[in-house]
Amino acid sequence: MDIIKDTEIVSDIDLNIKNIDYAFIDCPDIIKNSLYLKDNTKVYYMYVDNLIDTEILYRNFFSSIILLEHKDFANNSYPVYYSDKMKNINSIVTAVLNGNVVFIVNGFEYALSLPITKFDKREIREPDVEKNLRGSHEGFIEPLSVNKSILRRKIKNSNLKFKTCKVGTITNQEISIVYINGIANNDLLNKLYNKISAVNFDGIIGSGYIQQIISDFKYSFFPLYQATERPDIAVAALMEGQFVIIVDGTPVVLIAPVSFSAFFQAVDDYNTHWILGSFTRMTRYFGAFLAIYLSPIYIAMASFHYYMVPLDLLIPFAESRARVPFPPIMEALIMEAIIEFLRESAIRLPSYIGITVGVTGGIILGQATVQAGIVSNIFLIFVGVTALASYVAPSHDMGIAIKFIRIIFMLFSSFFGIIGIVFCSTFLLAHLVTIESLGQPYFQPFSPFKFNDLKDSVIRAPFKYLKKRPSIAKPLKINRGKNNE
Amino acid sequence: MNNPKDNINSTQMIVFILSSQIGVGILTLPAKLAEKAGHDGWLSVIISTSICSIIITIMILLLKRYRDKSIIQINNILYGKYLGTFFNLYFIFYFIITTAVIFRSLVDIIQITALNFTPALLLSFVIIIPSTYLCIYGLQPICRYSMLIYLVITVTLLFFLLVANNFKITFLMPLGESGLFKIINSVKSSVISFIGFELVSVIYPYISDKEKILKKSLIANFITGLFYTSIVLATTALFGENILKRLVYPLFSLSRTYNAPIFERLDLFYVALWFPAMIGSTKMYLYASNLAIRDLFKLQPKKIYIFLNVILIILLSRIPTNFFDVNKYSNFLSIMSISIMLFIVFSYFFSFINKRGVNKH
Amino acid sequence: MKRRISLILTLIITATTFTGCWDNKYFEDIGFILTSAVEYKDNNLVITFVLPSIDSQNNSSDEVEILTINDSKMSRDSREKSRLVSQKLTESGKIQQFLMSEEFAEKGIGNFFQLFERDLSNSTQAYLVVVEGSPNGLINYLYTLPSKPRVSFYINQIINNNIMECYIPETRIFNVGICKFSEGIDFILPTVKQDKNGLIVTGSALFSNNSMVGKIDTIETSLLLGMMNKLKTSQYISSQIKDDTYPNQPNHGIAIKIKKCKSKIDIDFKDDIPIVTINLKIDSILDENSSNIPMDKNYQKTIQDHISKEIKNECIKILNYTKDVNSDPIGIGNLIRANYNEYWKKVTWKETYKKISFNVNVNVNINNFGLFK
Repeated sequence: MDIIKDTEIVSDIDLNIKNIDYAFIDCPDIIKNSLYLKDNTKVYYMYVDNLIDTEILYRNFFSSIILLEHKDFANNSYPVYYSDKMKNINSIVTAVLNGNVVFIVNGFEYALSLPITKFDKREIREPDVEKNLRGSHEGFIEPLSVNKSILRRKIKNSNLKFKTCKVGTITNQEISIVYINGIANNDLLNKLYNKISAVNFDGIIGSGYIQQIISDFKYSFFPLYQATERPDIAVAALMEGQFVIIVDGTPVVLIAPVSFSAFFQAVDDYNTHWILGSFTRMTRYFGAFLAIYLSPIYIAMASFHYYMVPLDLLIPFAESRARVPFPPIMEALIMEAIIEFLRESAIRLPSYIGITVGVTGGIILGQATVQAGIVSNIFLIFVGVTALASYVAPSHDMGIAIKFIRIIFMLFSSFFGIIGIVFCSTFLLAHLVTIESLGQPYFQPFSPFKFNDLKDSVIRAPFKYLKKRPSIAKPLKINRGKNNE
Repeated sequence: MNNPKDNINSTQMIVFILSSQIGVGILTLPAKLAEKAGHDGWLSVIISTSICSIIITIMILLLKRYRDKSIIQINNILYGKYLGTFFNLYFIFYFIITTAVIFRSLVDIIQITALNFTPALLLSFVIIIPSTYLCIYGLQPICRYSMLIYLVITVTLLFFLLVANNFKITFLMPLGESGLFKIINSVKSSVISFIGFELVSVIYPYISDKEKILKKSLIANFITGLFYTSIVLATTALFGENILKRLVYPLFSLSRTYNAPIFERLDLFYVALWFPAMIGSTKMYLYASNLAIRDLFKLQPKKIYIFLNVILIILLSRIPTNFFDVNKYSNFLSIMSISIMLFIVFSYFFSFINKRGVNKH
Repeated sequence: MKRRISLILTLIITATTFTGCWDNKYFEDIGFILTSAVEYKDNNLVITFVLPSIDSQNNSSDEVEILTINDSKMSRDSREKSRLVSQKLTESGKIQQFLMSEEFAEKGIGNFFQLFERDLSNSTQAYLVVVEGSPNGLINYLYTLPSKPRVSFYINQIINNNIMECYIPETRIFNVGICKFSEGIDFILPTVKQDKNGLIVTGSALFSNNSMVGKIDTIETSLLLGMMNKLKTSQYISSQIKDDTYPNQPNHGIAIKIKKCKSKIDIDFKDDIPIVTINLKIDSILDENSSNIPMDKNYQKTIQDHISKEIKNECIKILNYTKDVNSDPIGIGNLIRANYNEYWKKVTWKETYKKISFNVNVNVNINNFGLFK
């Protein structure tokens, strides 16, 4: 990769031009040109097309620089918005690629860069998958600088720090760790920073790559870092002492460290009355519980423990099962497969076809399978309810994890009946208490049991009780508000 | 693998003790007591609680005399190298046999209640997996997982409220009819259900705040005692001593008497709730035996030792062939556990004679 | 090497787990025995099973299996024999009630139900019912009535409703087991009879030493349940109130709805024979008064006294009857064993029970009389 010679800038501009052109062979999007100062000193400038503000370039830069002379540069008396003296080719290349206009003046051993970045970016709009009713409707977008400015706009505090490092051996992206100095724990910060600096990969295309590479438990499919596109979630996390990892080029940021209950919290919970918010939250937990357990219990009862079925359901249940030629586990897996196909195809199709496919699949396929006797109609209700219930968790990662857990539960319950369900639950619980997110136990506050942190997990306590920060990120200052001790 | 941050504090130790005590012993306890002491079994439970409290106190005082050392190292200091190693091997043998017996009872219960035809060996391999997984990760996840025992206690007490209208107080009277001698005789069988606290002696170096250990372990023993007393009282009040003698698992028979509104029978769910508690009890002893072997032979924490231990336990658990064989091994185990407790008491008094290594405050 | 070992291990484990599910009992293959009936016919045990039919092809009737077994005393044996004839794998996990004939009950039902206690998949919550007549005939008769629901559900609903009204006791299999083993208390079972409309509940049967010894009707059953402290709500109809204060009124009847009935049993001894005093305190609501007399304080007192006297006489009659047949449903023996243990050990309870004398004090209180005076 070292085709760029790490050579110094010399006084002779033509030699410099030759070196720089060598670095930028076959890069027609880098515009290189020269102009002459008032005393005919050659100035060579280069920039990436479409990455800079050409209006300012032509109107301000060119019109002001052609009035200067060689001695102005020697005296360092050029207008202030020029910056950064660069002394070797590498830094010039980096500066150009970062959206600066770099120019070299003949006779000087340094290059100057002009940061007038402007490029087409997406508008700031609410992300599609994380909608809410009463919060802000902003979302992060791809460029890192815009994301930083969004955060800075929301937290007008000089303690908001961005610690950056470069990852990606080919892409040379910037990753920022955002934290609030004085609240965030320094040990965790160092740990996180060391992990990210040690990432050795081509390029980080999505923040999910970072999530998997730096995870301590690589085989666990629970999300150990919360991925979000909303600035208000990021800001709330920062104020609790957690770290936000922003990757240049992707609008999804990561929050670390995070506990299990964070995946069931939504912004709307905090904007409504605490009883209503708690009720909604408990519905989510209940939905996740049903999504995991409903189908496996059905399979266990239909295959092993017929005597647990309620008496009034006995005959309808048996009638609906009598028409189906498959054992319950096959029936369940067929329905899971159909719903998976529906979901995957609905993502990829354009929205108008997607709605039709959803209606077709849902109603017609469902009805037809029951009529044909492939699936029993009682089970169809279960499957429908679980398919809905598995996505009540606001975080998509958790929804997929729940779905996968359910399939494993179903397989075990078809081998061992209710013992299979008990075994899987035991193993799941054992797994949840061992995994850690950035060194902090994942299943806080349920176990290790921290009573004070329960106020924001299954219920949402009134604001009077939310004055203390949760201990998942080990913040340095516990109390919110004034008297910030 | 034990990392340096594998310390637990004394509140987690309460859960540790509770989870290792409440396991398979309580499931057969009311029947055994009904056989030996009639309807006064609950008195013998109260007596055994007090006996165990005394033994726990002596054990913790013994451990406090040698700061930060587990019983394996204390044995070596107190009795010299050869005798100490012999006693340590006895401890390890005891832990392994206890794990095997508990595990065998667990698999038996699964076979009786739910899966009668599944081969026991396959079932053993599958059921041991969560325990092994937690043992690999050390003490903290074990204690976090064991908090499930609180759920079991709460649900059991709730169940008693539900079947309470079938209780007959007259089944518990007259008080003390069996006489003092029979009650004292039955204390031997009820003390066996309380074993589990001696594991504290193995994990003692890993507990962080050692000043509160005594108080908290007495609290744990007290909770267990209360729980056991309520179970024995409830099953005796419901069934009466005569049929209680014939029931194998009185708690499960109790759950079959409740007629729930929609489901009509809740017994399978109740049985399923006990399994994590029993699995929890197994893993405590598994972990303790592993830790003791590691301490004695000064090995590095590696997964392979745990796997070998597990395979040994599964093979051992397959040795008894029927119900009465398992009873025979349980009796053997009860003698061993009483001897271990007496040994600890003896060591405490012996440590006043042989004062080597004792840390004065 | 390590990966190869783990691969082989995984293959072995998956192969063993996927090969067969040993305990599989698929739901649709199982025939649920919902009602079972047993009787003697010419010294043979005749067992009837009722399995609901769930095949969509044959919607008409449920399966009724009738088996004749020669001198088999084991209920398990009968279930196995039923598997030889039944289309589905019969299982008794959901059995709702178990009918038996009087002859069978008289011969003793002690060990017949042990099967239910042993296996967890069987239900110990089935009702036990004594049928006056042949249970087999009853079931077949109920099938000929087209307008009634399925037989098992029909019987179940009638029994449930009557238990709620406290006309028959609630005795399930585990109650029988408990009473069988404890000394000094006997269980009672409901009795039913075939009627032209279907089924009629006739009262309960008294048992002693696990065999049937006597029968009482529904009113007596509710009073007996009241003395056992198990009466939740019931109806009591009294008649023949004749009071001189109201000479113009002929004998009229009063119906009260019993809200709560508390019973307190005191035991005294006289010459080594226990004297049992049962104090009943009844809270009730006036339901119907077939005369025109308006309610006032004196009239209410008259009614209360009259009803108390009537209930007292009824109760003493019931208790003497139980004494004669040597059955102890209230559990006097149990109380004596609990409170007076030395006396209990001294005497043979079955002999002494015949000699004890009963005394009943009843106190009826009418709390309100609805919207009409």
